[in-house]
Amino acid sequence: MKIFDTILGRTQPVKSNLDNLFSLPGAAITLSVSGNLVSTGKAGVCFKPASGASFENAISEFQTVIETIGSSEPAPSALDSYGYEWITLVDPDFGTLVTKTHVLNSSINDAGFGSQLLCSVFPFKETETGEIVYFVYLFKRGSFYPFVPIGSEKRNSEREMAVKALIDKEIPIEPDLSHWFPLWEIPLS
Amino acid sequence: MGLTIFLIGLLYVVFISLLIAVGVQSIAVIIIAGALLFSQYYFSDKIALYSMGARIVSRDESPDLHAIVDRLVAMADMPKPQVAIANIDIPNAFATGRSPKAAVVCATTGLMRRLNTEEIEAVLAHELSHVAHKDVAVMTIASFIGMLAGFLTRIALWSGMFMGGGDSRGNNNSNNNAAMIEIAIVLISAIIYAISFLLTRALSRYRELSADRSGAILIGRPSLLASALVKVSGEIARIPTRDLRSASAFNAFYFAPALTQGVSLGNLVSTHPTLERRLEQLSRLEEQMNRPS
Repeated sequence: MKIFDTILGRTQPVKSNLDNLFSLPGAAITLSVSGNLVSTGKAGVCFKPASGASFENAISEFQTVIETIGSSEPAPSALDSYGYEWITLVDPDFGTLVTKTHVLNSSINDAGFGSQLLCSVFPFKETETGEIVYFVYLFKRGSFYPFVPIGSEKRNSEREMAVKALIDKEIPIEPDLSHWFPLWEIPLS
Repeated sequence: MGLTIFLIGLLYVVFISLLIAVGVQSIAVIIIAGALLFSQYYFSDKIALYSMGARIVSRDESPDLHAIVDRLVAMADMPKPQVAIANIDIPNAFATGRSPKAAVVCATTGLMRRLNTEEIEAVLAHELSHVAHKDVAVMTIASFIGMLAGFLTRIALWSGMFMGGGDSRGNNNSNNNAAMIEIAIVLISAIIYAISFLLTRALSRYRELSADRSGAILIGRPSLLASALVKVSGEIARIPTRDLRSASAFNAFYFAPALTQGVSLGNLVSTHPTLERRLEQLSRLEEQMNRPS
């Protein structure tokens, strides 16, 4: 009952939508064929670390899962200047990389911390110029947007629009441009 | 502070009573009162920003504040509000605006100077919860209903008492009676208004606790919000009173009220729950999160 929630000042934490993540491997083919963009073999998962033991458990549980998938060492993590944690996932095969990302996200989600998830980031490299295009997946909205940083705290909006036009039909692109927030200094190791 | 808002409300009541006394129809009076409150609600963002001397800042002007808000709205999946900064040294923040789509969150320069990034984020999470809970709309409606109760009592008493004594007009004695009756009416409607005022205050405190709770859940770290709260309250108590007085009219929208009221009567009319009450709720939340699932 929405009206009661308003009167009582209650809001439900938003559920995460993880399924649209799997539209990315198909789009990766288009990106490499018509955009000269190939995955760097890395992905970053960004979340707000919650306090308490059960959150810690969810993360360490994931590290054991990732080892069974085939990585020899635990995925490195780093804190950014806003206090958000980034876990870097590595895999030469893009399909497996997306699956690993999904595993990490769902283990955080299943432990009841879905509301802590901010985004996942997939960097793509332009094969000729070396320019990096990030695809940011917003968990709460189930949509992607491209992010192209240039220099210090500037972004190439024109390029972002061009990339958007390239794969508009294959992955859900975030329609509300105010959600295309910049992510400076992404700590992908 | 409680007195300020009470007097503002009383001013409304007196103004409306004046209109009635001049002979304007009661229905017209209620419509005028409604229109006044509606414009207060509709322009709440502009009024609050103007009176605090705050201004909307672009992403280039304050990239950090924008980045914090960006991340919070992405986690909460709500439309991004406008971001404003008030050039005041009191560490505080407020949110205003009639709906989540037309909202503004504002931080003071004092807040940004004294708190670290994560604490600012905790404070803004509390403010965004106010936006998500549509607190400006709820509080405006609540105070309007309170005032309406005051007027209606007045109107009812007027018509009731004067209809009974209508036949003895012209008599000196009944003129005297009429004056007595009028005083009684003013008193009763003032009492009704006072009661509804206290109820509105209780509602405001309840909604502050709700915003604390949602804000803490949004950032996943109740203790962080608690530490920001302690820091802000401590800093507020340390600042000279002159600044505090000048800011106290806007307590209703604030993260922490500028004046601390220790006595029980103060608690009754305060817009915010006591610091102890807020910290207690946050520590309970923290304990729930630490419980193994």
